Amino acid sequence: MAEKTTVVTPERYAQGFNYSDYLAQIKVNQDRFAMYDETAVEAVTDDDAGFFKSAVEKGCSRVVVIGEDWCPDVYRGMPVIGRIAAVSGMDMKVFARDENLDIADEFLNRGEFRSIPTLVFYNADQEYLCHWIERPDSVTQEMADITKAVETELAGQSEEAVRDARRERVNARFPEWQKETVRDIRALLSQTLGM
Amino acid sequence: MVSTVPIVYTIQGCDACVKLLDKWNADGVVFEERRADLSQDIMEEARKYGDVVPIVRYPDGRVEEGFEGGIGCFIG
Repeated sequence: MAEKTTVVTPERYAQGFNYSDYLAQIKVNQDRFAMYDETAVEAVTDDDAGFFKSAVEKGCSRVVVIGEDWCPDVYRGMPVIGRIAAVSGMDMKVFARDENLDIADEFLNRGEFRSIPTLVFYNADQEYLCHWIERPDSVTQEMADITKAVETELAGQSEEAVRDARRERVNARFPEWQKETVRDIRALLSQTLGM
Repeated sequence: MVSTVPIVYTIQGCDACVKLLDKWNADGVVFEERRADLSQDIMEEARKYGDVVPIVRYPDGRVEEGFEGGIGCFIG
């Protein structure tokens, strides 16, 4: 939970990248961000867009996104919040985690881990509303299930074969996991804003 | 060119990477660090050998991922 004293002041918020500027300066995975930007368009339905517009009208007008370009959860998840922001009018600012550890440390996963992406929602007065970390629980479970299934099915085969099979199955699920991310964020804001 | 020392792929902010390199430095191990977060070429190179940094390629061809039982950062 965000502490009463926060480093995310309005002045600090203004220092964040907008999404397009963030993408322009990343060093790795530009192709993957581009790919999942496209699938994020389908992940956020018209009904979702209407919900998030209402959320903005109810005061959820800003989101801080903490991430790093090398992270698969980020290149899958950041396009989702980017699309949500684009269709709803929510203002989005991106902060590279490792250059903003003080921000990251306000929102540690289970109080211990600097997990990414982390999304922190605020109203127009920069008052904290809620935050979301990393990925839906259902996705975490499915990742583990895929790993176990691949290791069982390919037992005795090379580590490379197991890794390639796992990657193929996991990457095939990314578009659906983006839809689950939308549902997860929607549920969080619905609960927070009483929608 | 075949490396005569272990090559370790790391990323900034990876605690497991820091722990491995600190241990190696303390033990006097000579290694070459390649940062997978600094260029797409090195990222793709790292991914040939594993999913979880630190990824170590030994001169004899062995590959190890993670530190002390697989702890590390997932790079996909």
